[in-house]
Amino acid sequence: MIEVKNIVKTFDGFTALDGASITVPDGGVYGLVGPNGAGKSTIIRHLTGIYAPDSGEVLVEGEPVYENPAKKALLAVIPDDWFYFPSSTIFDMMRFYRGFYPNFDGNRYEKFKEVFSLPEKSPIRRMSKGMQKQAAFWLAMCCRPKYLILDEPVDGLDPVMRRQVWSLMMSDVTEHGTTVLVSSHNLRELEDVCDHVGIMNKGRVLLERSLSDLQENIVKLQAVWKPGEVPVLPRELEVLHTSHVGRVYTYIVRGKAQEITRQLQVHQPLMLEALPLSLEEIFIYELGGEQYAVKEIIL
Amino acid sequence: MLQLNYRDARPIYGQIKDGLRKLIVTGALEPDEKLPSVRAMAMDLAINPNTIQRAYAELEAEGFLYSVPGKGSFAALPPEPLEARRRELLQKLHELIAELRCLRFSNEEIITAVEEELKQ
Amino acid sequence: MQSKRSFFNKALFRKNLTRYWPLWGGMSIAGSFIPLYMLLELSTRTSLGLAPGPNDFAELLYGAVTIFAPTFLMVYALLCAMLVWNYLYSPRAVGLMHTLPVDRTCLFVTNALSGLVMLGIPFLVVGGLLCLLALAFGFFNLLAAVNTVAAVILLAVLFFGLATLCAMLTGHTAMLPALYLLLNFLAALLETMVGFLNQTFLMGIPLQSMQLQFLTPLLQIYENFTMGYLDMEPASAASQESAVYLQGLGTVALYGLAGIGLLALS
Repeated sequence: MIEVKNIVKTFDGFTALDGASITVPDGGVYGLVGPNGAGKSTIIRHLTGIYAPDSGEVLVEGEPVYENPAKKALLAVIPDDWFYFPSSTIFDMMRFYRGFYPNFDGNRYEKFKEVFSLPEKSPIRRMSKGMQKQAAFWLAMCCRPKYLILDEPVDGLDPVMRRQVWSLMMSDVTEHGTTVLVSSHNLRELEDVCDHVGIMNKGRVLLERSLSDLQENIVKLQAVWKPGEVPVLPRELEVLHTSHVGRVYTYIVRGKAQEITRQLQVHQPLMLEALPLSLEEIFIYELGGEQYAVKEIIL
Repeated sequence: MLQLNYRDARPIYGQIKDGLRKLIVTGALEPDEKLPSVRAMAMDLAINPNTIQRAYAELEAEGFLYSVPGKGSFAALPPEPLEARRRELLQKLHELIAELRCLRFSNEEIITAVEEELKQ
Repeated sequence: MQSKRSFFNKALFRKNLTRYWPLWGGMSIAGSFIPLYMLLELSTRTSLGLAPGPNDFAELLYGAVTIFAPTFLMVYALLCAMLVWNYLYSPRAVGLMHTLPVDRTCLFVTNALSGLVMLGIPFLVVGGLLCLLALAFGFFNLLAAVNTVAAVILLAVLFFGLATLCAMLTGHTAMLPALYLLLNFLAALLETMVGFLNQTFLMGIPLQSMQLQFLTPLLQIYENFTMGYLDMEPASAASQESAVYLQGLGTVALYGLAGIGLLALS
């Protein structure tokens, strides 16, 4: 289990993390989402042992991960900007990684060669960015990590490769109980693969829930009221957003779909429909309250 | 086995549930036929196995499948369909009829269509 | 799972040496010109009928060593250090190195050793050739050989240590050599500055600044590390050795402490 407890990190007067905490349960996929500059990459750098927090703890299996080779051996990271030695080939990098990771699996390296179909003995610098990313995945998975950490992982991969890569990771999650932490903007994609989500903004983690929790506790209702009879919604209802187009009113409400529907039925709408929200919509509405919303600019 | 619509706003596990349920209800999946394993589905569709697990668990609660430890999950037709689902479908029927009338279907047209379906 | 703490990583060491082979390879080849030259000289003397004695050999050798070695070492050590510590200046490279399951002390030790070995290889090559040469001409003296080797090693350690310290203190590739050169010629600079201030403000009262000269290792070495002549024995720089020795040790201690301490900074 990965635990980040209330970490604060400042750089030159700029507070990158301001008491951020996350808990990543074992055997699942945790999505870390947030706007640019929220601090996602900074948290990841703490997890991988690059930074030590100014205060707070960063724990992997109960031990601080900084300068802890035993625990770091269980982690593999695929950063958004992978470093390879300038004239190395994938084969060279493989040998390099093999010298550090006790669990490095040579068989897996051979098996994945076909999956990724990358030239093993050509200089990496000659490959496209997408191919370099694939190489990073290939090698990271060969380290057989218990915790796989991905920072903006699938940018630059074509759709087929994306599914291939996720497919491999899901297989590891199912078979070996690998835990995956992924930081991304692509909520559409995360929605398919995550079972836990943490939403960050401005160095803090705003909320952290299982995906099922998130999805079950927020609902979009579309209603058409009898003309002139648009009701005022009861105060107890946590309405995050109201809007209407013509006579169709849309409400975003926190709570369970059935319960809220029942409450609105009382007012006898002409039409009432409860719809689930996509992760993208949940993100937008949750952050809307944090003054991070799409601004209407009048040109 | 299942095709997911990635543009669908519905959560993935909802799509899986609906998809499987449809297959079972229409007979495409016969009772006692083995369903794909959680692992196979996760790899095939590149989605989270826990999500699939959840869908399977809920379908099992609704009676649409049963699990045999070590062997997998098998399709079933629920002996007594859940009340909630019945209400849900009935509500949908009401809405559908309302929409049909909105689109100027006559009562006779609607009844004919219903009878046709019931005869099958 | 190993609980033993390791201070050295083979993969990194090997990687460093294989990556930078042009440097130590090139230096080895260039260095071989010294024994080659000596061979030429000695052969010439032989062919002119002057039987070369041990003193000739020593003259040539120590001439080469005392004139070339310090400057050469200063520059070469700087180069080795720059290569080995360069990863610290690139956030992407740090992103790899510091996420690997090794602690920073291990990284430091492995990289430092890589640097020193790279530093040493050309000397091994050249030294080996010189020994062969000496044996061929019958001038081989073990004590002298050991003395020379020790002197070279200490100088190497001194300069590499200083360069490593600079690497730990600076944050940018260009700063390392700048700081290094600055520190190397610190005393000279200080003297010049003080002298200038003197003239301007204190009406030219000369300062006794000789004590500070140790801060300029290069000059100090040149002054002390010269040849002494002892009868017919191949001369060694033994009498002046102590100065170098002390310097070498002093800075080794400094480098050890400072290096490890500075590693804690990311």
